[in-house]
Amino acid sequence: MSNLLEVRDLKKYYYLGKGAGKEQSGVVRAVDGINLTVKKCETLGLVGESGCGKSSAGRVILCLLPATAGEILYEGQNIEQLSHHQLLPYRRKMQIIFQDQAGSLNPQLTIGNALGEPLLVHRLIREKKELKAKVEHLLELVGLCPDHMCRYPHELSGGQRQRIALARALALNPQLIVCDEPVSALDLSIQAQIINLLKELQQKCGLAYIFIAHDLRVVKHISDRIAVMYLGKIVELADKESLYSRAKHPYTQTLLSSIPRLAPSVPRQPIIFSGDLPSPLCSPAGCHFHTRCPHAFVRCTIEEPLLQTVDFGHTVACHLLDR
Amino acid sequence: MYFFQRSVFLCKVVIMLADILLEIIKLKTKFKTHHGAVKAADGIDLTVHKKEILGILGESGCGKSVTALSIMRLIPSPPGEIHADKMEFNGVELQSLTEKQMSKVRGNDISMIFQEPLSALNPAFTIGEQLIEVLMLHQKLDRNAAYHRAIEALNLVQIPSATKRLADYPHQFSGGMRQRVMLAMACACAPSLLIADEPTTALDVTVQAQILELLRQLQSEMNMAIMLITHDLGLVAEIAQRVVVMYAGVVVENATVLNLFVRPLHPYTQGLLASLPLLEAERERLNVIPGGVPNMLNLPSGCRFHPRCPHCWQICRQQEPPLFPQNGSEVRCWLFARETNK
Repeated sequence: MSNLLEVRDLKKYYYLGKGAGKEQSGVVRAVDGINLTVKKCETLGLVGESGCGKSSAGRVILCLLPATAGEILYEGQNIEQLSHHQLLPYRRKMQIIFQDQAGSLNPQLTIGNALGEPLLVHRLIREKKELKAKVEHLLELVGLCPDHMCRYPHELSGGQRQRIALARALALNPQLIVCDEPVSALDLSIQAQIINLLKELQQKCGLAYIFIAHDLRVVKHISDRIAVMYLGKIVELADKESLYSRAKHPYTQTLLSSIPRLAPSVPRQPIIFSGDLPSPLCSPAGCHFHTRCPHAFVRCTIEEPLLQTVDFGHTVACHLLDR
Repeated sequence: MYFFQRSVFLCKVVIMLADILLEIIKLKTKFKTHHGAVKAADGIDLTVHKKEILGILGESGCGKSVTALSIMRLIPSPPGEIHADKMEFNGVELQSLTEKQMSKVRGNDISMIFQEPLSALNPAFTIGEQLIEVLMLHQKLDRNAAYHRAIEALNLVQIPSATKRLADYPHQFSGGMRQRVMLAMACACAPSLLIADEPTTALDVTVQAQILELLRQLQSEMNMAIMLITHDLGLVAEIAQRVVVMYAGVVVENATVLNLFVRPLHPYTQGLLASLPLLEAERERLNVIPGGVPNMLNLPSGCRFHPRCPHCWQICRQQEPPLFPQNGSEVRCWLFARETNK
């Protein structure tokens, strides 16, 4: 299958303290040279601890933030270089939904207006009647009834608001949706509803997802392939079966072992880190992970490991593989 | 097999004989609003045994935090109103205490940690000042003794270079470290009950594992009971011994952690367990509990769960079920009344 999206050596740096009369005091390398591909109708999971750059990566891929370096190829076209106007047709194909559903909906717009806005902005609708029918169709698609049209966001529950956010993303018939922690703010029983809906819509509308999350259970359920990020870099990328059964990188192994299991009768020993995620302002030299890695040796502190293929479609960045 | 049954029996006897630390009967907490009274907790029965980790599981708005705050008498009144038939802690009726006596109980006997450690710590004071204040107030120590105890407390929660870090402000700590500081503060006076309200929800999984390990250690070292409030089934499976499941202001199931995960009784608990993506196996579609949590101002008649329940029958719509005992568990569902009647 052809690649819908390809990201080559993407970097996003934030410069601190740079501004009127101020010297630059530091660089946060939020995304530091990542390579990704997303195929049509595929879900790519992006996991990592908070501050590892997964949200930044999602936003840069959609050109919501300018990239510091690298290429973003959408169906072969580098969209990173395009002007605002040239980008418009691509914006239609790539949408995003956020974690904070209340914050991403304008409280002053009714649901009908919020859903109609993208259609009007992109001039896909000419008549009012058409607009109403289209909005009704969208609401139906996400499992809400048409009379939600004249309600305001505060009248809806969290799960319903997330459905609206999804409907708005779907309004322009996109091919790719970046889901930035779409279910982490929802209650358990609602979470399952939204996850099922995401999966259904993927089949119905032929969507590809980049699914950013920190909940490894949910990511496993929804993704085809999963990329694990640590301090701006991808440390392991594999399809979900090999990642969850044969994780190679010590970081992935730790992440997986720290998920609480649902079987209270089985005693288990999670790998427990000493210390926290290092500050992205001064990420460690060599392998970024060596400060917390139980297997670190001299080479890890000096040389940065490169991603190497260990299995078909399974790449890992770790010096242990050469040992 | 015989020995297994025997040991299970003995365990039960031990649990029954074990001292009850906190016993609550029919706790009702109401909030007066413009739209009417919201019964956030509507007749909660709860017991916490000594040295036990009790998980309180529920979705947002089910009244689990309100229950904890009511125990601590931290609900502002008005608009809140707390009433219980019994709220006995270590043989003392908490409701009969004056405000002054109650503030002695808080911190000394019952401590609490919250979800968001940054908003629970005062940003304008160093954590040393805040820890020392707690110790001077509750343990009547002088400043010097309190200072040394504060260092001990930080060492206990495994904060490296404790002496130096006493002079740091909360913003200089990471999320996991802040939660450790909160724990140090809560455990500084060796309470017999620690209420942890979603202590790891704001943390990453790796840090969550650290905090859980620490909680477990503290619990066994200091012999305290922990009441862990959470919405995370995994967390409960990991650490709790007994679980109370809450729904819309009432307890719907009360069981040991093994029973709850192996044989969940209440349809709500069953639904929750089935809606979770599995790590071990594949689930094509997640099971869904239809609908949403009811509006607390406008609760359904009869059983609060009946509009979402797959097993709903006539009586469920009319009458609210009591807690039925069932194989050592308790469950608030008419399905089990039918079985006992037979």
